Amino acid sequence: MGVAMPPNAMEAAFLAQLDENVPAREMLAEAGLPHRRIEEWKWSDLRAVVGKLPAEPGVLTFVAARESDTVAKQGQESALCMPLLASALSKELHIYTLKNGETLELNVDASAGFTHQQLLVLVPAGIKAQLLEHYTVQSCAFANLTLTIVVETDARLDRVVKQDAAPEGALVLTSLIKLAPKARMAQTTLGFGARLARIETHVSHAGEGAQIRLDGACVVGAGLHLDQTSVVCHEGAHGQTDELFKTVVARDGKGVFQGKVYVSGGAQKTDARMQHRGLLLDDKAEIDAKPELEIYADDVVCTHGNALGAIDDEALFYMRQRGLPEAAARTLLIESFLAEPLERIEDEKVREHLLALLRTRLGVVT
Amino acid sequence: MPAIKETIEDVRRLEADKYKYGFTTEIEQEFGPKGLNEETIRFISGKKNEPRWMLDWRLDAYRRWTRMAEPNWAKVDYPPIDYQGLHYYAAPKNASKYKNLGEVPQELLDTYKKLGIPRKEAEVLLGLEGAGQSAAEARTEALSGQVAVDAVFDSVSVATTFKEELAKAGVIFMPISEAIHEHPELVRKYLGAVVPVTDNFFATLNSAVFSDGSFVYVPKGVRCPMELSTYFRINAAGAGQFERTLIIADEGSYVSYLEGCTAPMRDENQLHAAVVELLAFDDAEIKYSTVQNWWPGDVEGKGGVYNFVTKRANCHGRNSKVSWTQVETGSAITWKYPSCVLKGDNSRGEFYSIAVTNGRQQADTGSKMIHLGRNTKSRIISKGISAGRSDQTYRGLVSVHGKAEGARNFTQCDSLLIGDTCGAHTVPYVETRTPKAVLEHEASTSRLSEEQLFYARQRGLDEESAVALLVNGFCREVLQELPMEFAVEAQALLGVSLEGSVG
Amino acid sequence: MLVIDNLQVCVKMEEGKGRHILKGVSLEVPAGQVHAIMGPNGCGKSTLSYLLSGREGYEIIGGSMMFEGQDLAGMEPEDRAAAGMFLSFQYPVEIPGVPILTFVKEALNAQRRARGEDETSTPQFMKLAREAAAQLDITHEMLKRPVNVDFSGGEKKRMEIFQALMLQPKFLILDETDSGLDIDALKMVAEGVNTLRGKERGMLVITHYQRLLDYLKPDVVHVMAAGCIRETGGPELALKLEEAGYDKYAGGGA
Repeated sequence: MGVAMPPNAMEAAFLAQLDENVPAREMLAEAGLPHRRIEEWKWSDLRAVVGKLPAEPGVLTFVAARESDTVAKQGQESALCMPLLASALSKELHIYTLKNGETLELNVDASAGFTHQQLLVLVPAGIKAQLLEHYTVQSCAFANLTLTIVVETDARLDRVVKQDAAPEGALVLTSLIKLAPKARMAQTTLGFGARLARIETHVSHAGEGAQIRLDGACVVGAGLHLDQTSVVCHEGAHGQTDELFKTVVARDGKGVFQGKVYVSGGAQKTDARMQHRGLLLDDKAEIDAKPELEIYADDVVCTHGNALGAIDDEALFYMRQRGLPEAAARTLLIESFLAEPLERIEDEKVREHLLALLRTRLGVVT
Repeated sequence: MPAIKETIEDVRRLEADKYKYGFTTEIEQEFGPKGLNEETIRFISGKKNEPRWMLDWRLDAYRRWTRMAEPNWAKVDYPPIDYQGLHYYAAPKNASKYKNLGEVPQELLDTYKKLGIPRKEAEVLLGLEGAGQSAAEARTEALSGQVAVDAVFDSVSVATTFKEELAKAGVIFMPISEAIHEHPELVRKYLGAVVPVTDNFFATLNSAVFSDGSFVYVPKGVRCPMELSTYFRINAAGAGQFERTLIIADEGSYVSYLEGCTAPMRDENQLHAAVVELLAFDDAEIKYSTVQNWWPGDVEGKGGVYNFVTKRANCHGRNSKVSWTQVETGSAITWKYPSCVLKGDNSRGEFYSIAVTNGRQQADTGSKMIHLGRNTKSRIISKGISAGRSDQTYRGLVSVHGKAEGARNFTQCDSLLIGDTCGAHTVPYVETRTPKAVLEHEASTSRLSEEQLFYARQRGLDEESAVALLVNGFCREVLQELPMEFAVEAQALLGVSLEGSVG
Repeated sequence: MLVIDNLQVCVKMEEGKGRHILKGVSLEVPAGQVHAIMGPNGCGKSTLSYLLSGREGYEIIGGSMMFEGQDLAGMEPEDRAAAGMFLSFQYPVEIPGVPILTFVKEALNAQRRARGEDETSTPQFMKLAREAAAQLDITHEMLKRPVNVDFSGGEKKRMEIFQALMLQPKFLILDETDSGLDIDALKMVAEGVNTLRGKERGMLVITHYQRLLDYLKPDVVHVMAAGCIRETGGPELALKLEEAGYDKYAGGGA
């Protein structure tokens, strides 16, 4: 909108691949890649970051425990820029239909250059399944991935997203989640940031009585940027949303939390709670947060809280008084701060794995 | 749930049909030319015999404004405003001086009566001959506490009471149009210092066409001996009101300023774009309270005031403090974010707000706290009540810069929904760049509880009183912050019965 | 004073369905008497208290309830309150931000206005409040708090009786006032209630246990089960129940 900017190298490369008159092309030509003057991206200037990365096609390697069930040509329409681009610029759409009791592991690795990919995960009615994702982005890579997840009636999905630190790469992972009546889902993200990483989750409580737990633990070290954005829409009544996000930022890292809960007029008896807690460890660290409520129904319980600060000096002193060295005490405090969302993972093996991963990485970052 | 439904109906009636300020004053008006161009600005400036520098300042603002776009990020929806279809100047004819009460048009006296200004004080306001001397008398007869009043009637400030008594304390309180002549050095130095000419579309428009408003200067070490008060009233049809207020509290001084706003019922929308600038030096404190009850339009959303206001304080000095308290019940559209720039070390900013929307009202309001200095503290308490088909948004920003070590903010936003056809939204932005700050934000949304209503009714309160009591309870933390004179009016406005004897 | 005649009531449910909860209750409490209603959980005791005070959600499908010659059915809750009907709630609701004294003063004056009486002056009101508070061991600090907020279960019940002392109703319904009280608090509450006993005042004490009745000494005890009064007798009936329990009333049907 507004003043058209000349496309940067990355945008030009995308435009070159897009046919005339496709919506993605129009959107890109008009507004460019998301940048800080777009309200939803005000703290994550994707355009500026990827404009400096090499504008050549890269390779996306998928290592999945099994083949996808179907491969479709056409992607889906979206009002969101990045999914729209992923759909228009990726060759094919992989579709996985999960089986009862299945744990699907997806390891995604993006090489230097830009890549776009779309995935569709279907969780049929009544089943219970797990989805474990792991994303690595190589130096000079820009990966734009969109996952659409449909959880059918009475089905349950536990999802874990691990994202490795990528100091010279950029990642946009957009998840579009639709919950049918009485569907249940739990999602936990453990992210370490990138030159710019955005993990964006859209949840639609399309049916009545669906539940989601949406958690994240983010550790952002020197020179890194991690943006956790979520939009949860309650359309059906009696829906439940429980969000707990923790962000720890060290050195000159930047953490962004944006969380929106939308409750439509018909979504009476919605129970939505959102908490974000941030810890800044060093003088140059930055955290920006926007917890947002948009509510059109009166018989609801909706709350959000956001608290930002430093490590509690009193707790630190208490621990040192009991004999812990300062560094160990700090690490322990940070670890327990971040562990809270991870401890809500139901599967013990997965939970222990993530906690262990957090412990090893934390030493490096802080 | 019939009880809730009935209550909702009651509240609807209460708010939309009982707008007691919706009267017009039938007096002859003098209008400026319609539309906005350099001629309009010269006309306004000429009417006030302004010095050249003031005219140049306005023209500069106007030229910048023509290149600006109206902001559209707020969650309010209204048809485009025809800036060329408005009058930018309207004044009661011959409003300057009356010899005695008999000469004052009855309508004008009635206006003051309806505004709740006592007769004696109204005499002073109207500039009756000899009334200046009776100020003390007016005070003792009419008021429990001391309140100095400036009334802005459309574009002109009608009169300022207690001028002499304030002068004794060294406090300057006068219409800004007079201050431009009498204290040009102060006005020139500070006008636009807190809200720059190009700050935003509406502030720039105000800079170009502002007609009057209040000017306050409290000298070093002076505690202003009385509450200063201004009544703003839009009266003329098809006229915009653009008042400009500038308050300077010099080192170690204190002032409490009250602002009341009303407008008559009209079918068309009236535009109001004000700018308020507050400047607090070392150890100074400014308390700014507003009861805004501009005409909100009828239940169908016809008419009502478009209220686009820029209010900002610069807590420039060490240990300075500014607190904004507002009770917002009026206006069809509200776009307002009273802010504090906390520049001085240990400075403190507060924002206490009650906003009620009903009918088809839309309000997008909140506060900004910009922490620049060390150990700066801020506190935001916002209570929003939505009813009818209204839509209300709290929008706020807390920003802590790298050098603001020891900064603290606490924000609490609570929304109360009455009925299921309204909306309540919370959009807080929080930015921090130092680990040595603590920021907390809490928000909740709830509705008027059926259980509480029944409990109060079981003890004998009728539904309307029960609702009023519950709403009062919901808003209590903010009501407590209002100066006594305003608390009464505010509670009446909320339709709330009063506090008991123990508190 | 209170005459309930063959009262039959449904609870309104969603989608227009109803559940039959009172199946023909008859009961008469003359002025000056204290009646107790005892019964197992879910027998309809609390329904009766809500019905008498005018809570929504119930549908009267037969019978009547008359208070001093007035039919309660068509009256708003506040009109019943002004007529003198006071319900001490089983679970008093919290009302944040509204100080208890403000609330009681508003309620008292609203009732007085409705009865065409003059409002109580603040000094007079404060005098009454101090006396009532002293009797129930309610501190000045407690009186400054919002209605029922941050009170323990026992404190809430004391505050209910405090309000009764302040409002001086003609008729009291005590709905499980003994629940959540330790023995000292129970004694204190009972003493408060006993000072309200008088020739002109009637009371209906709804309880599950005997222990409150030890102090209140009811004139008549009714046993309610499955939506009906199953037995009526003197105070000895309560003692009997304490020993034998409600088993013999188990199973439906009048």
